[in-house]
Order: sequence, then structure tokens, then C-alpha cells
Amino acid sequence: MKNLAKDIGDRLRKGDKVAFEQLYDRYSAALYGMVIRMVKDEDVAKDVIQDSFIKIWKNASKYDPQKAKVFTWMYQVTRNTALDKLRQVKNRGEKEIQIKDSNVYNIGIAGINPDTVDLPEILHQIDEKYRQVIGALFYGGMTQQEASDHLDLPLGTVKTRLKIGLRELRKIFKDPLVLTAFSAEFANIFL
Amino acid sequence: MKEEIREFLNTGLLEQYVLGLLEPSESAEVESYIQRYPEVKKVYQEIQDGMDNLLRASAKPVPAGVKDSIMNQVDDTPPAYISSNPPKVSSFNWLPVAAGLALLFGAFSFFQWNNNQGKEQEIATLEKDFATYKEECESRNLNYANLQKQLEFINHSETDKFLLKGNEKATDFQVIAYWNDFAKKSMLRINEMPQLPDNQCFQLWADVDGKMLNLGIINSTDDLFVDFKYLANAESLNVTIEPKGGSDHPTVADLVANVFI
Repeated sequence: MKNLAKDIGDRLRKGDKVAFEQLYDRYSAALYGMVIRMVKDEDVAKDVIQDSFIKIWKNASKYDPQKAKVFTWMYQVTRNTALDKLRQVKNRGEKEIQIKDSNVYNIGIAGINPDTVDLPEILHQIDEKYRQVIGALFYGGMTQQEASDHLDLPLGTVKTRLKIGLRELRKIFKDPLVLTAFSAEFANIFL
Repeated sequence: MKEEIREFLNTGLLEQYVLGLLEPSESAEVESYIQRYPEVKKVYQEIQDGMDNLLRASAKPVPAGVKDSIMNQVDDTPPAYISSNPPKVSSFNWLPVAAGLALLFGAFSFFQWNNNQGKEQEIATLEKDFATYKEECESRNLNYANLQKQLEFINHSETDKFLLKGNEKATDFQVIAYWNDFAKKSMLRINEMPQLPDNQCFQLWADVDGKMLNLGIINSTDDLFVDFKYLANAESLNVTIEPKGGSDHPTVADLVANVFI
């Protein structure tokens, strides 16, 4: 699996369209799951995924396999695109609210409220204090400072909880039963 | 695990790096750790795998039509680095070129400065070497001049050559004496000289008017040709073994060699 991902990453860098399509098939659902939780609007989420994959294609030559796995890089591109879109929608929404009621993208600031994020089931297996931080950073689209302000926690605590939370998740994913169940669930998406 | 690595992993910077939450300077620090320490690289890979797993666990099917829309755009939009469109002059960004030229100029200046520094060092070394060779050359010239003089002396028509060969007391003793009454000068060539006890030495005497007069101690460490004391009216040359430092009067019983001149 790892070698396959590396191979696809290398081919992507060379502008291989088949590799790009394979990456889309492999990762778009995982990225969409993150994006829809962040923006809470299907149309916006579709725009974000579309813009993100176009960026991934256009900037394929900038991907450095020495620095990150291809999925990590794609995640970062997509997350930044989603944050840009949220800021753009928020600004547009605020302007239009001053003029008239708007039905363009019914999100705004509430869209990045981690309290209302539909967190994946797997996150409920870790302690709430870690889940809150990971939820805010992964699916709430917050910076660490924003998470610190929102959760009323010192910035250092946010950083520590992110670290421990991710390590707790690693332990869960190392459980063979979880991996088997997860793989089956993930496979169903593409069926 | 090194304390430095443990401390770094405890900062949580690695996790933030994976999520893309760091400033460029912090990212550079993290990348440095990843490159330098396999332990950090391993944890980094695990965090990436963890994030991969987490996001797959929260995957949702992408609505229909998105893929087709993306693939259609991809068909019309080749990646930037394989673009076949020639760049437009109006949109050409000169900033990187200027920055590149500035960098090139800076690098060239540094190279020149560095090169000059190197040249100066090289010149200093050459000057030092030259001084050493010059000194050595002068020394050799002096030796050569001395040898010339010695050669002229021993080949002089008035120079007599006498072999002082050791008796049973010092069979290996063999010294050649060059004697010139015209130039009033003498010289020895030490061919062979046996090792004496530390408290003894070889001493050369000249018989002048029936008296043995001291000409000096012969040292085994002397050069091949040694200038020696000349005495007029000498009738013979004699070598004796004497206590270390030499004697005022020869120990005749310890006579090693003698020759009439």
C-alpha cells in the first residue's frame, strides 16, 4: 500500500493523468469527509474538493515525496482551500447581510464551530478533551490559537492535547480489529 | 533515544507540522529533525499514517458529477511545468530573475573575495617556501664553495698526503692527513675511526724539534674533511688514545698511529 502510494505520488509529479485519477479515487472521499464537516454545506464542499484537486493537479510538480506522503500533502492543500473558501463565504455573507437576506451558502462563522461538527465515530473512542482539540483543528478548520480561544485553553495545552490525541488514535488504529472493520467500511465507499 | 530527540517529540511540533499548522521557520526546524534523526522520521511517518486513517474513518462519498467536472478541467489544464503555452511578456515576473541575479552577483562577489583570500594565503605560503629554498640554496652554495676550497687544497702541488693507519690498539683507525708547508695549512680526512669508551679520545700530535706538540682532538663526529692546526717544522704526525678532553702530553704507550712527514 505504501509503495503504491509512493509510486502514484511520483507519477503525479510527472503529470500522469491516470495517477491523478487514481489519487482522486483513493482519497477524495476521505478529504470530502473532512471538508463537509468543516463547511457544512454540500455545494461549498463540492467547490472545495473541485478547487483542491485542480490545485493538486496544477502544482503536482511542487509535491516533494521526501517531505511528506502524497496524502499528507493533498490534505494540506485541501484544508487550506477549505479555509480560504470559508473566509470568502463569510466575508461575502457579511456584506450581503447588510444589504438583504442572503441564501448564498448558508454557513458563515457557525460553519467553523467545532461544537456542531459531526465527528467520525472513531474519535469517540478517545478522551473528550483530546477529541475536542482534534475536532477543532481537523474538522473545525481552526488554527491552534483559534482553538485555544474557543475552547478556553492555554495554547500550550492545545498543542499537548493534539499530540496526545493523535497518539491515542494511533494506538486505536494499531488494533487489528479496528483496522479490519475500518477497511471494510472504507472499501464500501467505492463499491 | 537521545534527550534532544525526546524533548523535540514532546514539543508536539511534529503533529502540528503534519496538520500544516506551523510557520515556515518552525517547519524548517521540523524538517531538519526529520532529516537528521531516523527516530523522528519514524514518528513522523506514524503520525501521517494516523491522520490518513482518521480521515479515511471520516470519509463520505463525494457527490456525483464532481469527478467528471475535475477531470474535464484537468484535460484542459496541463500541470504548470509541462505547459506548452509560451509565457506572455506582460505577465513575466521579473522579481525572481532580479533576485536570482542579485544572488548570483552576491555569490560571485563572495567567490571573488574568497578567491582573493585564497590567493593571498597561497602567495604567503609561496613566499615562505621561497625563503626556505633560498636559505637552503645559500647553504648549499657555501658548502660547495668549501668543498671547492678543500679540493683545491688537497690537489695543490705543495700539499702532501699521509695515511695514519691504526696499529693493533685500533686496527680500524684510518685518517688521511693533508699537509702544506707552503700554505701553512693542514687538513684531515677521517675515513674510519673505531668507537672508544666514553672516557677516552683520539688526539693528534706533531713532533717538532723532538717535542710532541698538541694539534687537537679528532672527533668521530667531525665532517669528512676537517681543518686542523698547522705547525711549521713538524717531523712526524702521531695519534694517541688519551683521556676524554685530551692531554697536555701524549701517552706514548697508547700510540695508535704515526707517520713521518
